[in-house]
Amino acid sequence: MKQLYTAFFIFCFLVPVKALAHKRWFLPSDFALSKAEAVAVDFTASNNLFYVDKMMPLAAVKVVSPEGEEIKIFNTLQGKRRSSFDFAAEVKGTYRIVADSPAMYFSSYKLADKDGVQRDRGTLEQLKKRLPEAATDVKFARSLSRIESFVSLDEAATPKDWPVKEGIELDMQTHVNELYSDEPADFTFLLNAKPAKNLKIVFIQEGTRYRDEQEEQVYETDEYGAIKVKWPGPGRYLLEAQTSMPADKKGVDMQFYSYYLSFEVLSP
Amino acid sequence: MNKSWLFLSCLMSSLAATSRALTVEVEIPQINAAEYHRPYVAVWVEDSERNIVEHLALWLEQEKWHRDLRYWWRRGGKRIELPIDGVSGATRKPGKYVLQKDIEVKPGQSLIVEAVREVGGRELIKIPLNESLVAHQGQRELGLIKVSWENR
Repeated sequence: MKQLYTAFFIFCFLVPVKALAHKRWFLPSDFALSKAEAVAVDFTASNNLFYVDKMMPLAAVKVVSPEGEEIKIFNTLQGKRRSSFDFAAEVKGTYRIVADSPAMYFSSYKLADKDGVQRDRGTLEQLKKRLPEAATDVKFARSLSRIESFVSLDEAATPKDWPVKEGIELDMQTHVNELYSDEPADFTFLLNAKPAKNLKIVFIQEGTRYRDEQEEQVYETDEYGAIKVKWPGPGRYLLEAQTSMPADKKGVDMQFYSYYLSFEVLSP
Repeated sequence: MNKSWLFLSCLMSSLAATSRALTVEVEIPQINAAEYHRPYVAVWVEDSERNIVEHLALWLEQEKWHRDLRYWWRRGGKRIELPIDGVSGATRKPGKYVLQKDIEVKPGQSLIVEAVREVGGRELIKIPLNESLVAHQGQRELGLIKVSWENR
């Protein structure tokens, strides 16, 4: 009975959250540099790779230098379809571009006089305020996403750890700026600082507009959170990972985590 | 008794580390393009694990585009300090160029020639160093590559 309840519960949330969870990504003007220069980055929510669609706010964006310091971004723009910024890649090593989005909350409930499940989105306070008196089967969910990309100048060095309070994290054994289509890559994923077991990782190569299938490459992490990826070919890719679990935070029933990483794979 | 000792000593001397005088002739072909730029070229010897053993030539211009020699960049180009005396220099115009270097012989070595041209193509030629005279005809960005050596 409990399993049925959980399954129904997950279903109620997965459907709307997936519909609202557009792919989100950074697209830097370059992933591997041989000279210190400026890098331009677009930040957008869009399902079409790599066409910009909906602007993503810059407030949560950070660029971390190879020395582990947050550096300034400049020439910022928050347009309709994307936000943009430049940063200066001056130090040899790997720069981390990351957005740890603030938590989003969702509610679902039923009303006697309406068919189906009603849904809402906002802050937890707003959701509770807007909840009708007659609502039944009320459930709340919290969603946290992390969007990342990496740019290396000369040496592709292990990027300095950047604090992740919670959520999905990538531990790259094969460096993300050293991917080639003739060599498999090893990645390990952590969830809340522990190996993310049985996490579904999806890779989509750019150019979905020019083919009839998404052609997603799906992998599942092992007990160590690891996968070994074989690339179908060179190009830019988006890695997407999502997971959900019953929440232990008071007032919320479900917790969703998502992770997006954009990168390139070169031909040998 | 004498014959087997002789045979053994011959075998031992051939197995001992020797060095080769490697001669490589690189041809940069004449290309008719509306906008022609001299190619960036890297010539080097790699071992069986694809590590760079020794550079023979690096003809480069702007640092910004060094990484477009993507095989060289990946295999160690990104880590080397330039200039290298007698190896690195400016890009060259179409023609034949002879390079010579003394290399220590080890099994599994190959000679690599990589060329990339702005608003043009990229070509990679890999020649295993297991025969004493090899010629390889490039298709687009490289012409005839000739490799020969003498044991020292």
